Amino acid sequence: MKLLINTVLMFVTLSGLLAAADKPATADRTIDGFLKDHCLRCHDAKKQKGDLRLDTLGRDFSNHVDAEHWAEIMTRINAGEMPPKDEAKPSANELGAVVDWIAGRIKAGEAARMAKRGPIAHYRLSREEYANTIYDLLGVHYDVLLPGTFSEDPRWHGFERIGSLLSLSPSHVERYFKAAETVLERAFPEQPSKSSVFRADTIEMVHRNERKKLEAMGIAKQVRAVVWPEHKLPALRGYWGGLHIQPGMYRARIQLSGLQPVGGRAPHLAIWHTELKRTIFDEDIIAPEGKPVIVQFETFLSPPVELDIYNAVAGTIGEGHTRNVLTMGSNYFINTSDTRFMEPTGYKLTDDAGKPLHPLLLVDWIEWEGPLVSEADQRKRDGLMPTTAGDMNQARASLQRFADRAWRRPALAAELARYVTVLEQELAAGESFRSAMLAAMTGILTSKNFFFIEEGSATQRRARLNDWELATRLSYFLWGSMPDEALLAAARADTLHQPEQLRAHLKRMLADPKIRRFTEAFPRQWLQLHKVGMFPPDPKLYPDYDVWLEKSMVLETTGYFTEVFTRNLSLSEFLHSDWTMLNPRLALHYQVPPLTSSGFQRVALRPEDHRGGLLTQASVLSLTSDGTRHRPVHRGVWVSEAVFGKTPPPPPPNVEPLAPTPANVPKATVRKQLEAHATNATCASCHRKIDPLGFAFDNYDAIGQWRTQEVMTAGQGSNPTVDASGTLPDGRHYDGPEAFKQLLKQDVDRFAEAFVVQLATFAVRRVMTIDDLAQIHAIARACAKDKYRLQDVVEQLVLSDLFQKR
Amino acid sequence: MNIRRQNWLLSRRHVLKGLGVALALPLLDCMRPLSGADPLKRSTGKAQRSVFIYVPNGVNTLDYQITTSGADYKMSKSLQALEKHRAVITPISGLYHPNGLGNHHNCVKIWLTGGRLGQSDRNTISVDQLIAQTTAQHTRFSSIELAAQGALSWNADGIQLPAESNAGVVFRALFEEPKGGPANQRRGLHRRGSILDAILDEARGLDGQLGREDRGRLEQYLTSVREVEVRTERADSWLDTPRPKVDAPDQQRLNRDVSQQQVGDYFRTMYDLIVLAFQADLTRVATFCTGQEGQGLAIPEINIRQDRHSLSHHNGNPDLLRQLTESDAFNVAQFAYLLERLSTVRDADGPLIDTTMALYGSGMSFGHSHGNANLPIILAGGSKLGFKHGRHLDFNAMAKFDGYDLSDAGRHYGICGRPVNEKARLSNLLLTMAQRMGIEATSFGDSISAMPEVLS
Repeated sequence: MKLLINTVLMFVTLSGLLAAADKPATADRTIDGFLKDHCLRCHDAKKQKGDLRLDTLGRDFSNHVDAEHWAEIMTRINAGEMPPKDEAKPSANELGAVVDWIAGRIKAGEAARMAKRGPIAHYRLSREEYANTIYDLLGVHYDVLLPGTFSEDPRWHGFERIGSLLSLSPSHVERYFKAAETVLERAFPEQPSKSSVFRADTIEMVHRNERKKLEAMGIAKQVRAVVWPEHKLPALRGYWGGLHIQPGMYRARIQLSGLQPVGGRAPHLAIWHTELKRTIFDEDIIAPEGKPVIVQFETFLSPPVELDIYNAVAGTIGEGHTRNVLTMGSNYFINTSDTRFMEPTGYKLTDDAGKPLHPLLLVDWIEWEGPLVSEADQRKRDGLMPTTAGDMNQARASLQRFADRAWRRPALAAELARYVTVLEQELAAGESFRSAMLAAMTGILTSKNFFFIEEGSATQRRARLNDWELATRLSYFLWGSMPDEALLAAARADTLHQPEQLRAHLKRMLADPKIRRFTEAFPRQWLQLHKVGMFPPDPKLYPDYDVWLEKSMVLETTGYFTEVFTRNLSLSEFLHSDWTMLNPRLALHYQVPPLTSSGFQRVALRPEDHRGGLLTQASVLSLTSDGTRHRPVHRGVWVSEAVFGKTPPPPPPNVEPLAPTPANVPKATVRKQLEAHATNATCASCHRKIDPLGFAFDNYDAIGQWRTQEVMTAGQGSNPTVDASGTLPDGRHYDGPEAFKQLLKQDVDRFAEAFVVQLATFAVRRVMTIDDLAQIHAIARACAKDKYRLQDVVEQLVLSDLFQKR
Repeated sequence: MNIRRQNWLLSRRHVLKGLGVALALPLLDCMRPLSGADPLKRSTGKAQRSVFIYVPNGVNTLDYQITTSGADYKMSKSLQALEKHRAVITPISGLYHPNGLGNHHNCVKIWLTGGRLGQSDRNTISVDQLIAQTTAQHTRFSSIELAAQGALSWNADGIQLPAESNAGVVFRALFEEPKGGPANQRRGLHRRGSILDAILDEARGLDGQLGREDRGRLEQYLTSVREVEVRTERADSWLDTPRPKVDAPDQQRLNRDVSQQQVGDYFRTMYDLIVLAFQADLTRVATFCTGQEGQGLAIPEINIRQDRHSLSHHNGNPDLLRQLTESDAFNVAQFAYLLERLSTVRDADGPLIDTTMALYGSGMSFGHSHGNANLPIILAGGSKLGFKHGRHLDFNAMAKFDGYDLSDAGRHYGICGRPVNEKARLSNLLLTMAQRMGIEATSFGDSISAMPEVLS
C-alpha cells in the first residue's frame, strides 16, 4: 500500500511546488545529465549557438530573466525543435522528466513572485466581498453584478481573491466613489421609505380590461393564468397601481401550481429580470393544480424594473403557436376539467385520461411587499448619523464610529481629521448637514483603508498578524466580509490570537448563517465552477439542455460541499460517495427515480446511477467539455489541478490538429483519435500522465449524461462503444469511473494535502510557495487520524502559523 | 468663486512632489493641459484619429490568407467585402508579437501593448492610450473603450481599462447633458474634489514611510486617485461647453441597448457611435473589442450558433471550418461598413477616412492550436497621416520563404505558429502608428524598428 502511494506521487505531486521540493539533488542530476548528453555540444562556453549557453545558465527561477530562458528552452524541446534532428534522440521518458523539471521550477518561481510581500501588503476586496461588506456594515444591498457597477475580478486557477492579481485602476476608484454615494443615500435617505403591499391577481396580469366582465360571469375569483413552456407573464410592472418601487428589498409571494406530464419535466418557475437579463429566482413547481403552493422570496429592486414570470422549460411547442390559445378574447382557464371557457380549437392540455400533456404553470396571484428594512439592518446604522443637525461633536463621534467599523480597526485622530475637514468644507459650501455628513462618509468608504485589506506596518517588519488583522483575515475567509462586533472586541482586548479564544470564535463563526458565503464561494472558486456554461452546448446535439439545468449543476456541487461541511464529513467524500444533492431537474438529467418535492435534497445513490463524489457531477463533466464533445485531456488536466494541485506543463504552440474522421471510414471515439498522443514522443511525455486521468470519464458526454456509446456525427457504421479503462503511469489499472474513483480514494492523504493548499490559497489570498510546504504538511497530518473531516481541516488551518503569519 | 481649479490642482501636485512622492505617474495625465472652456480654442490643429478593432480566435487562415504580394494582389475569400475599399487599405501578412507565441488566450491582452504577460507580470501601456496622451488635450473624452466582450486598453500602469458594451450607455455618456445643469454638476465635482483631497492626503502619509520597491499596491492607488482627480478636473473644465446636438433619427438609432444576438446591428451601431464621436470631435481615439478568445460572438442571423471559440477549435471539421470562414467574412463586412461610413462622413478637412487610421485584426491566426504568428492584420485610412495603401504587404515574402501552399493545411498552419520573418513585429507597426499621431517615441513595446513600409 505504502509503495503504491509513493509511485503515484511521482505525478500527482502538489503542483510544481512539491515537484521542486522533491529530492532536488536527484532532479538536478536529471537535468544535468540531459544537458550534457543532448545540449552542451552546441550550447557551451566554446560554441554558444543561438547566443545560448546552458552550462552557466542561472537556475534562480524567482528571477524573471532566468525563468524566461528556461521557458523558451522548454518550448523548443516541447515543439520537437531541440535537440535538432541530427542529434541523438532522447526517449519519451527523458523528455518528460526534463520538461517536468523545468515546468515545476517555473511554477515554483512564479509562485514565489506572486506571494512576495513588502512591509505592508494590500489586498483589494473582490467585488463579491465588497457587496458582503457593505451589507454587513450598513444593511444595504449593492448589486455588484449590475451592468456598469464593478467589472469582473481576475482569477488565478478559479480563485478570485489573489492579492497579486487584484490590481487597481482609475475606474475602480470612480466606481468605489459612485457605489459609496449610492449606498449611503440608501442607508440614510432624506425621507424614510414606507413599506406597502400590492397584490396582482390573474386578471391584473393577463385580462386587465375585463375585470367587470369576468365578475359578471362569476368567474373573477377562479380564473387562472396559464404559462406555456418558454412563455412569460408579467410579474411586476411599473404601471400596476399602488406599486411605487424605490430602491430596496422586496418580498414576493406567488400562489401557483403546475401540470407535469407523466415521466416528463416539471414546469419551472423563473423570475426574469428584463434589465439584468437574468433570472433572479428559480423553482420547479411540483404542486398539482388542486393544491397550489405559495412560493416566497426576497430580492433587491431598484427602478426602473420590469419582471416576468417565466416557464423555463424547453418547449415542445414553439413561440407563436400557443400565443392566443388562452390569453385573448373570451378564453379563460379555470382548471383542466372545466373546459367551458377554453378555445375549442386550441392545444389540448390533457390526454383522454385527464393526464397533463405539457409542463404548464398555473398562476393565481403575485404579491409584492416592500421596501423592507429589517430591524437588524436598521440597527447597523444606529449612531452613524447625528440626531441633531449641526452638532459637530456628535458628527465627530459618528464619523469615528463609522471609520472604526469600516476600516476594521480604530481610526487615528489624524486620519479622522481629514474627513471632518470634508464635512466642514461641504457645510461651508452651503450643503445641508445630512448631505455634508454623507460626503465625509463617502470619503471613508472610498479610502484605501476600506477596500484594501492591509497587513503589516510601514515602520517595522513583522511576520505575525496583529489581532485586528487576524480578525479581518478570519472573517473574510469564512464570511467573505468584515468582522462582527465580537471579533472586533476580541481584537480590542488583544486576546484573539490566544488558541482557546480563536477556537471559540471559530466555533461561533461556523455556526453563523454567514458561513453560507464560504460554503458557496470556496467550492465555486476551487473547482472553477465559473466555467460551467462558458461554452454553451450545441442545441442540436443536446436539445434538453437549458439554463435551469446549468444552474442546477452548479447548485448540486456547492450544495454537496455545504453538506460535507455542515455534517463535518471526510474529504474522501469529495472523491466518491453513495449520495449526492439533487433537485427534480437533475434527477431527470441523471435518470435517477423522480423526486416528489422541489428544491435540493440529499439523495441516496445506487451503483447503477453511476454517480457519487464531485468528479462525476454534471457541473465538472460539463466544464471540462466544449459544448459539442467531451474533452478527455481537459478532464485529465482538471483532475490533476483540482484533486492533486498539479498543473501540467502547457502544450507546445502549433500542435497539429487531430485529423478529422473522413466520412467513409468507421466511426471512432475521441479517445481513439487521441491515441496519436501516445505515438509521438514529445506529446507522449506529458499526455501519458494527463490522459488516463480523463479517459476514466468517457462514460459521460459533454453535459454529463451517462452513456455506453459515443455518438459521432462523422464516419460510417454504428456509434463506437465507450472504453473508460486506463492505466495510471504507476501501472495501476482501472476499468471505468467507479474503479478510478476507488483508486483516488486510496490516495486520500495526497488529496488532503492538495486540498489544504487550495484552502490556504483562498484563506490567505496568495499563492502557496515551497516555504509553506512544511506547514501544509503539518495541517494535513493533524487531520489524518480522524479521516480528514472538513471542519477539522478548517480549524487546523486557522490555528496554524501559516494562517496567523503574514 | 473661480470654478476652473487648475491652479489648485497643479500647485498641490507640486507640493506632493516636493515631499518626494514623485510617482511613476508617467508624463501624461497630470500634465495634460486643460484648455479653456471656449470651444473655439479647443479645436486647434487638424483632428487626427485612430481606431483599433479586435477579432478574437484568429481566422480560418486557409480562406483568409492573401497569397500574392504588391498592388495587384487577389483579395481572399474572407476579405471580399473589402474589395471596394482597396485604395484605402493595406492587408499585412507575417506580423507577430514575440510575447504572444504560445501564450494562448492572453493574446488579446497584449494585442495593443506588445507586453509580456505571465501570472505575475504586469502589462504595459497600450498604443491607443499612448496616443491619447497627446490627443486628449483637444477633446472632451481622452478616448473611448467599447467592447462586446473583454477590453483592449491598458493604462500606463499596465492596468486594463474596462470597456462599455451597451451602445445606449455609450451614446448617453457622449451626447447627453448630465442631469441637474452645470451649476449642480460643478457642485458635485467640487464635492468629489474635496473628498479626493482627503484620501490622497491619507495615502501620502503612508507612502512617505515606504521605500520605492515596497509601495506595491499603494503606487497604483496613488496614480489611480490622481487620474480620477484629473478626470474630475477635466469634466469641470468642459462643463460650460455644450455637447453637440444629435439629430432625432440618429438619436433613435444609437441611443438604445442593441442585443448582441443581433450581431450586425450591434457592430454597426458601435461603429456609428465611433464615427459620430470622431465627427463631433468628442474624442480622437477609440478601441472596439468584438470579443475575447474564450468566447467570441455567435451570429444567429446567419445561422452560426456556436461562438467563435468553438468554431476556431474546428479540429479540421469541414462544417466548422466553413462556418468559421462565414463568421470571418461577416466580421470583415462590418469593418467594411465602418470604412464606408468614414469615407462618407466629412469634417472641415474632408472625408474622415483620410484623417483616421484604423487597425483591424487578431492576436491569433490559427485558433485551433493557438497559433500566434502570421497574424491577420489590416491597416486602413489615414492617408493625410502619411500612410500608403493599395497593396498586400507581405513580411513573409520578404524573408526566406517558399511561398504559400494552402492545399497543404499543415504546412500553412506551421507558418501561423512560428514566425517566418523574425523581424516582422506587430509592435513595429504600433510604433509607426503612434509616431504618425504625433508621439515622439523611438520604440514601443518590444519593437525593434519603425515600419516605413506602410508609409508613402
